[in-house]
Amino acid sequence: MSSVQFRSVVKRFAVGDGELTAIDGISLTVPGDTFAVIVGPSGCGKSTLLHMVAGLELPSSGEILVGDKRVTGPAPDRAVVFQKFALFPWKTARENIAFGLRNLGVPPAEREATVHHYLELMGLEGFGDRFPHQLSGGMQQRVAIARAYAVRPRVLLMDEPFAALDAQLRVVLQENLVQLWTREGGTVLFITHSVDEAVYLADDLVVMTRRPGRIKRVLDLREVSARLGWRKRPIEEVMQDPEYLHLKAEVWRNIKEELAP
Amino acid sequence: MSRLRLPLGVLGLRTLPLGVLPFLALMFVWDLAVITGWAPESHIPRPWKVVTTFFEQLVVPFAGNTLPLDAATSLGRWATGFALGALIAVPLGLVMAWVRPIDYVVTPAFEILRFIPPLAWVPFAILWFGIGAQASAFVIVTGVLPPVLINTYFGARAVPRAFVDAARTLATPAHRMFLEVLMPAALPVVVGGIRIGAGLGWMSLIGSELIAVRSGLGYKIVIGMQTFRPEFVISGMVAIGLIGFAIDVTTRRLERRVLLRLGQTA
Repeated sequence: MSSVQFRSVVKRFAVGDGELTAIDGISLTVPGDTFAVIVGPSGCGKSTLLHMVAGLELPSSGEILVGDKRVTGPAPDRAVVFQKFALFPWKTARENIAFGLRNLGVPPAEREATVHHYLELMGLEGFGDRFPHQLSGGMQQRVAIARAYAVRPRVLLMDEPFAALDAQLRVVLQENLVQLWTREGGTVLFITHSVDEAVYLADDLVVMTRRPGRIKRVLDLREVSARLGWRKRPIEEVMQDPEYLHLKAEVWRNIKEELAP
Repeated sequence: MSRLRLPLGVLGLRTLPLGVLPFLALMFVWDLAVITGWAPESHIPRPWKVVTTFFEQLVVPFAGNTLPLDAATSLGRWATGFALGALIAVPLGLVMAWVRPIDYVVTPAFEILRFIPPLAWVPFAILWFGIGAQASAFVIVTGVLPPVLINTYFGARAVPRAFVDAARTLATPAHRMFLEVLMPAALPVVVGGIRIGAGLGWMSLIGSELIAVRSGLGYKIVIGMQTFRPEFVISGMVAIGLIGFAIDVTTRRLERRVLLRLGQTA
């Protein structure tokens, strides 16, 4: 799977007469097959960063490379799971998941198999023919994750995917996502403002400053996560782990320094 | 509690909608006004006379045709004008919403034209098409077009960006973006416009029939007026109201079905 490289990425937006710098020179390499989580205070530009990897926005200067290919626009090698799901309400769960595959010209039989695979993996058997409004919020987001995974992206981009869900559901989906990722692999770029979530999910945890967004620090959690077997244990257990709590406190301190007084 | 229990078995009805009461009250007050001479019978007939006239006309022609025949004529004109108006307005609205240069050129002109009521187009309708079906179709189009166009335009412009973004990241080709993303996203608002346009089209049709044609419900009313037979005027008005109501109920049902099909709760 592909790495993601940010090379001196700057993003400015025109605001009225002036300009607003959302991202102020970010350089970062996320190696392939990494679960990278970007955490930062609200408005720090983390969503903008993700949209630039998706190609939905382009950097004002600098460049982003996925593998060795420069990002110039959206493409299914960088599938996105949006915060508000962005499922097509007029399509069933099955049709939503199959949508990208149809666009890519995947033959129907193979398409069906893939859709079935992800419905099963996400615990959505029997819900394939429901429309999004007939599904709970948690199920809708699972469909959205399946839709993104189904096109076999080189990088999966997740923009605060669980922010719209209640706390209990969020925990279930976090666990679900870890299981899915352990099984399917790939590079994941995950945006969140939840420190709990970030520490639990991340291989690389990137902490951003407040706007204009820069990188404050990068924590490598591979060693601790593997040593303590976080990904194999239930989340409520991990959340009691002293090392988890210690890391969480440290990340919190970093973010607190960035919150406007 | 919206239904009243009355011994209505004779009429094949178990309950009577409470909404009928105001009608009965109105009839009563109206009749009272005529009986007491407060409203002379030469100006307004007694309610029962309207009722009998209405039913009489179901078989006995007045102003050339029976009521059902005139109603059918009017409905036919309405259907033509409505279909024509919607067929012009929906594509035009989509193009105005999604093609910048056309938006710049057409929208300002439309913003002024849409305030000209259908009746104001009647002189030109007659001048251009003569007295007949074409003229009335034209007038109906002027009534149907604005609401359908406005809704289509705003519906198409208000497609949530998230849908388009999601589609773009999934390699959606242009035709599929149009047919499977933009259109269904805009459709609920478009259909709302079509429903409003159907009603307004019906109303403008009657206006056109007062002047531009020699048959239909509107024409019946004119003849009723000219021959000093107000009971015919009122029974024509009642027919117009009932059919307009039926059109609205039908289009509302259609709207709800479309919304359901689009995965949106009405």
